[in-house]
This record gives sequence, C-alpha cells and structure tokens, in this order.
Amino acid sequence: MSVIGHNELLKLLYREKVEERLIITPLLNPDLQINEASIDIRLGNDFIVTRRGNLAQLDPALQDIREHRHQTTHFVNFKECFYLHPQELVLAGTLEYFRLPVDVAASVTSRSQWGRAGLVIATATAVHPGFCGTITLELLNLGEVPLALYPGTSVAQIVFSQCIGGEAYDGDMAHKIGAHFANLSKDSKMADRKFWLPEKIKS
Amino acid sequence: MQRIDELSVSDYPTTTPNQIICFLQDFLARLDEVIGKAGSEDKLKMLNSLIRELGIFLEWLDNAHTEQTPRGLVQLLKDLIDQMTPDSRVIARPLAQYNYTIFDLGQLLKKLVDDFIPHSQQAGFQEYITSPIKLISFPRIERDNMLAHAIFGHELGHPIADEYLKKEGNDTAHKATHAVIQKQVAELVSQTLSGSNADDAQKLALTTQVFNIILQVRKRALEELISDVVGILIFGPSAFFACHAMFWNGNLDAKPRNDTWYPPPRMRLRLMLHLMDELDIPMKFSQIAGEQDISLYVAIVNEFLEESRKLVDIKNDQTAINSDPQLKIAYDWMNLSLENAIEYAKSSVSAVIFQSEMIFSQLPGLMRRLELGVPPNEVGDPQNPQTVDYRASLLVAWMFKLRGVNPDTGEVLSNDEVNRLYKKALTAIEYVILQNKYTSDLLQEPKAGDSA
Repeated sequence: MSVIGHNELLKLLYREKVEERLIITPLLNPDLQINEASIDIRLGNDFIVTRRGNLAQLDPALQDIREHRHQTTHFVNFKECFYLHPQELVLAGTLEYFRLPVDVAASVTSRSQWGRAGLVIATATAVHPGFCGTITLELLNLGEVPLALYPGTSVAQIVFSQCIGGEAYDGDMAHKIGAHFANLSKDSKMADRKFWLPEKIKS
Repeated sequence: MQRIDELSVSDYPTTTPNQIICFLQDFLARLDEVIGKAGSEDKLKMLNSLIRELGIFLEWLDNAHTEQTPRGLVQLLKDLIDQMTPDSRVIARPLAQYNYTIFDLGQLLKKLVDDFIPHSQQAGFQEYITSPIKLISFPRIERDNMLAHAIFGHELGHPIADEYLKKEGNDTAHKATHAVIQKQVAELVSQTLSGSNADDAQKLALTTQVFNIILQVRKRALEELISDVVGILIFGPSAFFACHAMFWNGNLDAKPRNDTWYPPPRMRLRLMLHLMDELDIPMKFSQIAGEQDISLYVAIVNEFLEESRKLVDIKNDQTAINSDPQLKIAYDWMNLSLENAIEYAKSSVSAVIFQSEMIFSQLPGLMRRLELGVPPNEVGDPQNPQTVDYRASLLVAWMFKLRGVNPDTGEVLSNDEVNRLYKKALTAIEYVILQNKYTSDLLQEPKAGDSA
C-alpha cells in the first residue's frame, strides 16, 4: 500500500462522484494545505483537559458513566490561545470535517515545525477508510516550555494511503464533531469484556 | 464584584460577555465612589436595591458560556443582526422557560450610566454603549436543536413591528380610523349597557376601558404577525417548520387572552403559509423536485405543506374571534392594516432577505452531503466549491428531519441520528460563516509585492 502523493490527492479530492470523493471541509486554503504527500489540518476551537483531582484512574472495567466529572471542554475563540504546558496531554478537535472513501486510509502526524517545538500528535493516529467526522488530536507537549496553540493553526498533517478491500468505518469515533474523550468502559470493540476484565464495583 | 471576576475566566462564544463584564467592573467601581458620597439613607437604600437588581447580569453571564450556548447560534444571529444593524454585539443564554426573546441590553446599560454615573465620568463608558447590544434568550430544552432556532427570525421581527407601529401612530389615515373605532366601541358599550342604570360617566369609563383593550389587542396581534412575516422573509420555510413544531401540541384556536394577547396559532400559521405562497416557495420546491438527490424529500415537504393547508383552512380561530365583539373590532381593524404592515416588513429586511432562487439551487447538493454524513456547508465543483447561504444549510436539515429516514438503512431516524443532524446543521453554519470571513479577509489583504 503506497502513500498517496500530491497529484493523486488532487484526483481524490476532485473525484466526480461525491460518494467516492475524499471530502475535507472546510479546506480553506488548498494551495497552502495540500503538500507533496499529505494535507495540513488545522486546530479547531475545542480542547479537552483532564481534571485529575476528580479522577482516581481510567479503568475499562469500571462502568463509570460520569465522564464529565473528570474532563473539561475549553472553547477557544479564533485569535485567542490555549497554553499547552510541558508534559501535558490534551485532546483537540480538528477544524476540518473528513469523509474518507472506502479505498483510502490515513494517519495523522505532527508537522515538523511543531514537532521540533516539542508538540507531538500522540499515539492513536490511524484513520480508517470510510471514516466520517472530525478527528480528535491527542496533543502532548514534550518540550520544556509551554506552547501557545491558536485555533486555525496547522499543527498536524494527514497522510493518506491506498486501502485495498476496505469497508466503511462506523465505530465509536464516527460522526463526531469537536474533541471527544475516549470512554474506555463503553468501547464497542470490547464486547467480550466479560472474558477479559474483572467484575468491579464503581468506587 | 468577586462573582463578576469569577465569570471573566469562562469561555464565551464571542467577546461581548467579556465586554459586559468589563462594563460591570467599571460601573461597580464608580458606584462604589457614589455610595461613599451618598448623603442620605434613602439614597443608600436605592443604591443597595440597584446592586441587588444587577444580580440578573450574573445569571445572564453564567449561562452565556460555551458549555451552555451553541457558538453557531450566536454566530448566525450576530451575522443577521449585523446586516440589519451594523456593529452590533450579541450575548446569548438559555432560559428555563420555553421562550425565545431578543432584548435590547445596550439600552439598559445606557440607562444605568445615565442614571447613576456622574456626568463628568460618563465618557469612560462610551465604548461600552455606542454599539447596539442584544441579549438573546432561548429555551434551554432546545439548546442543541439548531433547527428550532429558526424561530429567531420572528424575534428579529419585533423591532421592525415596533417601528411600523410607531410610524403608523403618526399617520393621519390611522388617526382617522381611531375615530371610527371609537364610534364602534361606543355603540358596543351602549348595547352592552342597554337596560342598565349606568350613567354617562360610567358609560364613558367603560368605553375608554374597552377602547384601550381593543388598542392593546390590535397592537399585540400586529406585533406578532409582523414578526411572523419577518421570520418567513429571513428564514423562508424553516421559520414555518419551526413555528409549526412549536405550535402543534397546543391549542391552535386559543383566543387572545388578557395576559399576552397572542393571536391564535392557527391564524399565524395561515399568514405564514399565505406569505410563502405569495413568495412562490411551493413553486421553488416543485422546481427542484426532479433532482434525484432531493426528490424524496421534496415529496415529504409537499405533503407537509398540504396537511398544513388543511389545518389553516379550518376557521375555528376566526369563528372564536368573531364571536367576541371586542376581539372582532380589534381584529377587523388589524386586518385593515396588515397588508401595509407586510409591505413595511418586506422593505425593512431587504439586507437579509431569504434569496429563494439561490438557496433552492443549493439544496440538492447539500442534501447529498447530508446523506453522506457531511455538514451541508458547500456545493458545486470540488475544485472550486461554493460556500452556501447558511439558511440553505438550515432548510436542507429541516427537509432531512421531516422525512425522518436514514438514507442508508431506510429506517426511521433514531434520537441519536436526529441529534447528529442538529450538530451537522450547526457545524455547517459555523463553517459557512468562517469560510466567508476567511475569503473576504484574504481578499482584503494586500498581496506580497503590492506597493504599500
């Protein structure tokens, strides 16, 4: 499976049938955003931070439905900033909404300018074929100084690759808008949880 | 003061709440000086009472932050209000009561400054009160229902209704009608009191009382009906769908009552439907009915409009009004003015008029996007996509909801899917406003190499 380069990206974005098209909206400045083999994506306005004091642990075996107790959403207007402190992990939604065709998968990674400043788009970077929604970026500051993050800034890029025999993704992360916290105890991929996880009573 | 400072750290959809917080901080600081110089106990009591009343600002601001108030709603209303009254500021908050309102907060701030700040210090408050400030309220239960917020077209109509009534008050023909109505009222009172021992003074008192009621009933009917007209003129069919949804579980023929004097909902729906006919809206739906992407949805809308026609063909509301002599005089009089009032409304909203030709041409492409699960914010050639009018985004979401079917499965939309639809409509509106602003700002920016 090969990475899709600039010219093929354009073909994907301009496919005649809308259902077969790679949709990224709003793609505010294609000339600036479409790179040699990736597309720059922008920060949205919503950031999720963890309220550690309210949280004993994240344990998929605990059916804690009160996720609002340990997370706070910060809305940041354009031209205002969110400070990401060293060693802090926050979730941020992309400004753009995506719809991938079934023959394309993607992965999200930092842009090198931001990476060198210490910003890492962490861990879960795979985007499945057929995915529809905004992408939640896991932002981690590995640097020594706080980073000022402005909505609309291109901090990440999305790299597309051909996917053979893919099916449209319709999992827990589909059709979301804005940043979303992972509810580990509601992971639909853990339908066999009873086999793997101990029975626990919520503390 | 401490409570106000606490509110300043919240996230708000616009800068207006923070500007109001700054106003309050400055106002209370000046008021502190006024209290220090208060010469009497009465004045202190009055200032104490004022400070308590200012507590309402805490409630407004506490509910205006982004966890309580959808940003897209604020952006949409600010965009519309700006086109009608440039440089406006907007603050929005949910209400426990089921009520939509737009309140002129700027006037209140100005009055506070005029009444309580020494003249020599008022200049420092000018930056807060020079632009119009609107406080928008909506029912908390409908917070995320972007489709219902088309009701705000009606609220935007209230200032226009007020202007019309003020203008009408100076009209000589209108003054002449007053005399005719007074005569009708006098006859009505004579009939009512025939056989009684009422003397002339009592008759005069009752005549005045009835005439004032008739004035009030007519005024309230015109206020609401003009506002309904403005709703249609701004939001097109979405305003009708939203009003219909609000009215359907109530009494459509409820007679005007002396608390609010609201006209009967059936009458309001009839007028809106009549206006849509006059604006050729049903014809516009028919013109896109042949488009593959949207034909099923147009068929449902046509059915809905047909059912609505049957609903308004029933005249129980008019029968109820005609059976009450006071209401009959008020409504007959109101009906004489309605045509002029509608024309006035049309001329007042030209800057934000629902451009049906353009909006309807955008619907098929937007519906295809919605069916694919994508926010309905742009259409056309993907190499050069066209940002749509956000009222097209709203209307296409209404059509999707009215059909109520998941296009992939053919099953009835679940609550989750309906909520998702609301969110996509909201996101589309945010995107449209952002895309327009981005494009216009970049176009204004001088290109590299241009001489300064």
